[in-house]
Amino acid sequence: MILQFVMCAVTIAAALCGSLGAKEPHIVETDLWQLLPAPASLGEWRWVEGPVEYFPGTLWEYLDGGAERYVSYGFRSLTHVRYQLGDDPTACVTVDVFDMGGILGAFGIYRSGLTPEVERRDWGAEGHRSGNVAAAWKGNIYVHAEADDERPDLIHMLERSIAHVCEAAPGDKSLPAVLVDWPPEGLVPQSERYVATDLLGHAFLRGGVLATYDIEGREVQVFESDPLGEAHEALEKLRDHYVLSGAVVAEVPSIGSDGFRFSDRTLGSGIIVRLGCFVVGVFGEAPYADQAKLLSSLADRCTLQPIEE
Amino acid sequence: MKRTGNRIDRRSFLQLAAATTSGLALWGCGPRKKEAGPAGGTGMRYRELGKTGLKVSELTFGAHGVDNAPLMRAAIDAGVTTFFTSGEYLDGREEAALGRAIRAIGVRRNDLVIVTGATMRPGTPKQRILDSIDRSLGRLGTDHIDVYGTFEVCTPSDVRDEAWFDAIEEAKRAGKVGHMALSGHCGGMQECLNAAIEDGRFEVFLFKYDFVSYPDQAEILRRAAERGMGAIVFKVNAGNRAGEIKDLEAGGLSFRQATVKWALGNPDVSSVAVTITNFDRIKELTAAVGVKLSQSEADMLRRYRDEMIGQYCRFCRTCEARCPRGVAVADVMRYAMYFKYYGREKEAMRRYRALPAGRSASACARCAGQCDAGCPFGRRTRDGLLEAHRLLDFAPV
Repeated sequence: MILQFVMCAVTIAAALCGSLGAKEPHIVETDLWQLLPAPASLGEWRWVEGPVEYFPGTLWEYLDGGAERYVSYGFRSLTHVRYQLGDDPTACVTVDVFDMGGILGAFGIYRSGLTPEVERRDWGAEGHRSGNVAAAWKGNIYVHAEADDERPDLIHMLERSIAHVCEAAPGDKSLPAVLVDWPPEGLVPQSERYVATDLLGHAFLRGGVLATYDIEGREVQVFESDPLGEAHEALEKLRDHYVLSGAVVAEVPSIGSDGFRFSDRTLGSGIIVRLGCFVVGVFGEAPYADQAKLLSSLADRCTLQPIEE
Repeated sequence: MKRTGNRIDRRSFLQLAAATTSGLALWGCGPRKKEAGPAGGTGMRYRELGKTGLKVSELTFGAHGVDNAPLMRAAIDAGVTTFFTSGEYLDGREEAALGRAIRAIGVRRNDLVIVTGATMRPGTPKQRILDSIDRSLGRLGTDHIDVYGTFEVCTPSDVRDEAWFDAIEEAKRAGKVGHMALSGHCGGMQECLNAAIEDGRFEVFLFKYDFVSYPDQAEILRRAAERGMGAIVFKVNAGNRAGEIKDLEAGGLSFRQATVKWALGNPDVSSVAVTITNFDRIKELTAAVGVKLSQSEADMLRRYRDEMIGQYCRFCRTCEARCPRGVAVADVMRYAMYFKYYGREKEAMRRYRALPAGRSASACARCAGQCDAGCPFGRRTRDGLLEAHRLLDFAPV
């Protein structure tokens, strides 16, 4: 069984390694300001800032320290506008519409700001409100809005703006292809994330996807990375890292290639293996046997997808 | 120095630029003040944060977009004690991550300096500011914030809001906040900082400081230090466009290290905040602490400045006050940027044609170009406007 799994995983992964040119579905470019609700349709609401556009070279002028992160997710442009109710400067709603260049980027930046306690909304592919902040994504569009406070008029405008942008945005409600076939058993809902760079803090891993699984009350994180350079070199670097930050406990010959078990002062225990050109791992609170079973399940589905920004 | 309000004329700018050029070399060689360390064998050094009584590591962990506990632990192991986050980054998730990381690592809270804040526009009610502080405390899992700031400050009126001061004073009395800061990075930041220095109530500045922009920034830092204000600076890499300059880092130079060394070469800077997203970055940047800027690094920064300073308009609108015809310089430059760099020629031309009469650059060819003297970054504005007009008025849309 294990041999079958390894052969299957390696075969599929190798095939996928050769298809890295494959992209997420192409989304038609849009003038972002056209997605926004026009002031003429908003009664007493009017624009008091913008629409102002920002691009990768100028985003730092708007986002205090955050520009580099958005750019790493594929950011192409942002249209910022601030609506004000009548003459009250403390009754405003700020709406930022981002073109993230692709589905993975929009999904990734959306999920990176998602917390468990948010109120879900039926906007775009996913949407939510949390107090005076709301966000959603659809296709390559990510929209984020913030009201000055939670007065009903402001929250109504906040939700109306996001809904309008999502209605007008092109694209469908599909999740990124890379996540579609991850094992559903134990998967914590909405825990999947796409990290654009420096997965787990390692520059050589580039980006990757992460998800949380609940194994009988114990949480583990599973990750898949399509590293820069050769996967076996990335494995060696990870091995060196965990020797320094904890310990490499044992080899893991039964799953993929070059695998090892490790313990880390902060992450706990885990397993990392190579499946073709991918680096795949699991770490967290669950015992080794459960971690190995989950990792095998991931690979056994033979569904590893190339990760494309 | 000849000044108009808080702005400087072109000649003054060039003098400052020359002084800064000298400073690129001199700061690396001059005496350093307020330093302590290395401590604990890490090589990290520490400075006083103005007169707050706090000591901050020369590197501040810019936690934007980072919720990686092992990475934070590695930074602490490397001697970093100062963390800069925001209640608004990732909708508060980042503060929560920092709180979780601190608890997971088991570091003593009082061994760290936590800097956070939120955007508070003038008119924000006092109670909302207090609520925001309480939410930050909850997410961070701590009973006090060492430095709390009003972020995204853009105009002098942003730093003169009495509700803000009342709220912070109340939070201080309750032991929730240690010190008050402001943060910003917009085109008119000099005016905001000058207004805050005059006001005298802010204790810490958090702002963009680099070797390309804001030519009077060193003087502002000097005056702030004289008033006992501490400064944590960020965006020291001046747009981080080193990759666009061929062989800039030839010979094994590190642009990032050089920019950190340059900033720390100013004794009025308490700490440099850098976004740290991977373990390699920790090693690279901590290696820059306590090391003088070399001549080759100064030459690299000078080359970057020379090649980048005139390359782009910051859309700050400062020069528009000098234009006798009321040309919408920032808008025209922005449309030219769409045309040249973003492949949106038709849209750019359409927007240009939609400008109100007299606001386009059509008359600039017959003008002496007073706008050139109005650019705080020394850009040849008129040349840019002429080029923009040639591009944007090329043909009917």
